[in-house]
Amino acid sequence: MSIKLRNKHVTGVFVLVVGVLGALSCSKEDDLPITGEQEIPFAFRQPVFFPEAVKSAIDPKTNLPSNPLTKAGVELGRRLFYDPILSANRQVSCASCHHQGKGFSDGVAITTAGISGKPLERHSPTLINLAWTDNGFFWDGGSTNLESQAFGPLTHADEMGMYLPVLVERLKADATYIKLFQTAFGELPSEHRTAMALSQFQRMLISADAPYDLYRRGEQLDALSTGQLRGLNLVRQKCGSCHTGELFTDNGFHNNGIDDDFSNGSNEGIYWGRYRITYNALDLGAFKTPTLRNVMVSAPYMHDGRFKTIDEVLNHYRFDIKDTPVTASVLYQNNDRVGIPMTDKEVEEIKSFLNALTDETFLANKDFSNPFK
Amino acid sequence: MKKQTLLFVAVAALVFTSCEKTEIKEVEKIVYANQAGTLSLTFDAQYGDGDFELNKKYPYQLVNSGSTYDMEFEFNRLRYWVSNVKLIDKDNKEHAVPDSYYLVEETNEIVVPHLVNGEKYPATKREEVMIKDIPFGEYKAVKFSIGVDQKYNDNIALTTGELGSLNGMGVSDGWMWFTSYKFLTLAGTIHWADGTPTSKALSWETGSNELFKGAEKTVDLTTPLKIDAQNSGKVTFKVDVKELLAATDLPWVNNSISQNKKELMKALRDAFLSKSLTFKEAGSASVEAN
Repeated sequence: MSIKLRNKHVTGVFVLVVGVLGALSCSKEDDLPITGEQEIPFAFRQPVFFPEAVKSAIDPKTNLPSNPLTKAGVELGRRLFYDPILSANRQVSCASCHHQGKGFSDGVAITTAGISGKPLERHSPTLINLAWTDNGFFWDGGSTNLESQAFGPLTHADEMGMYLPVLVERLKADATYIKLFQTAFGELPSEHRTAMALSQFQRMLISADAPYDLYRRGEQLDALSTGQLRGLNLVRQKCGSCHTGELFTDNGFHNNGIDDDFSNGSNEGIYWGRYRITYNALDLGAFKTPTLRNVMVSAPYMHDGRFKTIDEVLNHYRFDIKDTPVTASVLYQNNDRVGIPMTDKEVEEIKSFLNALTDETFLANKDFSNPFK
Repeated sequence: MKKQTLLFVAVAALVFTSCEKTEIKEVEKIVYANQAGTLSLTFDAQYGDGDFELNKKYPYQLVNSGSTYDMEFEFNRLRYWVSNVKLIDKDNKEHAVPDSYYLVEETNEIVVPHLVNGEKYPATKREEVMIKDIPFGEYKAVKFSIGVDQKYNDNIALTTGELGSLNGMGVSDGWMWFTSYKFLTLAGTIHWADGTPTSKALSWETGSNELFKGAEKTVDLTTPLKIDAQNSGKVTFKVDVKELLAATDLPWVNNSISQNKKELMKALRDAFLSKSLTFKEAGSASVEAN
């Protein structure tokens, strides 16, 4: 099924409604001359059991979402995501640190793949189900929405180091991009449309076809083994306060007891975690809950990638959580003492279940892969 | 954008120079007919009674706990957003200027910090804001805010007026703060003149949605300002940077004001709104078809 827009310049007035292939059209649409056709052959996918996805911010001028998904927008975003033209030295793309096969993480604790070659301060996060991230982006939530987030890595000296006026110059000098921006937005390339297109592509990175999902939706009742089912229950029981629901994250920020010294305020408070944003003392050392989806292919773990394996992570929660005034209270599961009690057998069952969150369809989806290859 | 020059033929006799009290300046003639309905807002930066200049050392005596300390302030940047301009007419009706977001700035060249190619933001001075399409009428007050309201502050990919990440205020030269806008920036160097001379970077900034509440200023005009097909308006505000320094009694200690010092951010905002920014003069210029 497809929706046709009669004018490529009116894409902004279309909203894809979650779950339904519905469109709200602007009343002006009928008056506009027919200058071209654009197809939107896919609706945004709203997996059953997922909460409602977050729409892009309302544009104060139209009172409609400012960045509705269109086929052309997503395609442009995908190309931009993989194009090193977005970096100062033309050698680094978003995909340099976000590899599809690793859930769009990069497999190293701290990358040096940016333009300066210097190590970054934090671990490259996965990019999974970002359309449901409703509480801020980055490990500390410092960006309110995906669109604004894009400017961080684009301009950071040690990531893509881009001077935005130069970015716009480059894109405007590229005939392909002129055409793609025109199709997607009816405008010449600009830095803010670049951020919007990147966001559209990233909102499409939906992982909902792991064995767990097949089981959950009743499509394949034997998708989970008995051990995995026990693991699922254990995860719900012991990890579920933060790795909540179908997204396996509460999108919240918690101090999970990996540190007990937060005196280092250097680097603009980067080691303070969420506190850097809120200046609420209880947020010291709190970082965003990552999803458990595709967790077994996205090692290493934590905001700084300090744990190399899932065993190290589980070991931390069993034995090594630091008891501090800011350690999350849900981690005191051991008769009010810090720690999450797990037997060796339970650990094995949990790990077994986590494997059932690996979504091979997502990890190999050609719609998400490098379009230049 | 089409540059329009407003030619004021000064009527010297009507210019009041001696007193500090604001006076309406009558100005004559002659511009272009299409400037009808325009309003110019000028934010004239000063330091005390003199002009505000970058890279000049201003002596500053700090009185603290009964002692006095001699310091010098040297500035390299003053920037702020003027937004949500509203005109109040003589019937107390508010007329909001749509998409009114303007960056007022006076800055040295800025070497963009995160670049490999050495791009630079050029030295810039911009004090005048030209607003077109003002509804014809007589206005007795001007309202505006310093900063950016939440709907745009939360999403730097949305553009309107001068907002956005290009055009001189972009994220590239550090105009972004947790992917939102800095509302007001005053930067430079503080020199400690007593004893062993020493200096510190001055970096004062305000921002955040919380701070936008209470960032509105209403300036009453002494005489109603007529704007119509024959008359364009011009309002000048004085922005006294010296008054901004009163935001803290301890500038040497608080040489850096930012998100982590919320009370000082508020003090800086309030110093700007209630002390630094004052009405200077206003007048109409008659407009004729060319």
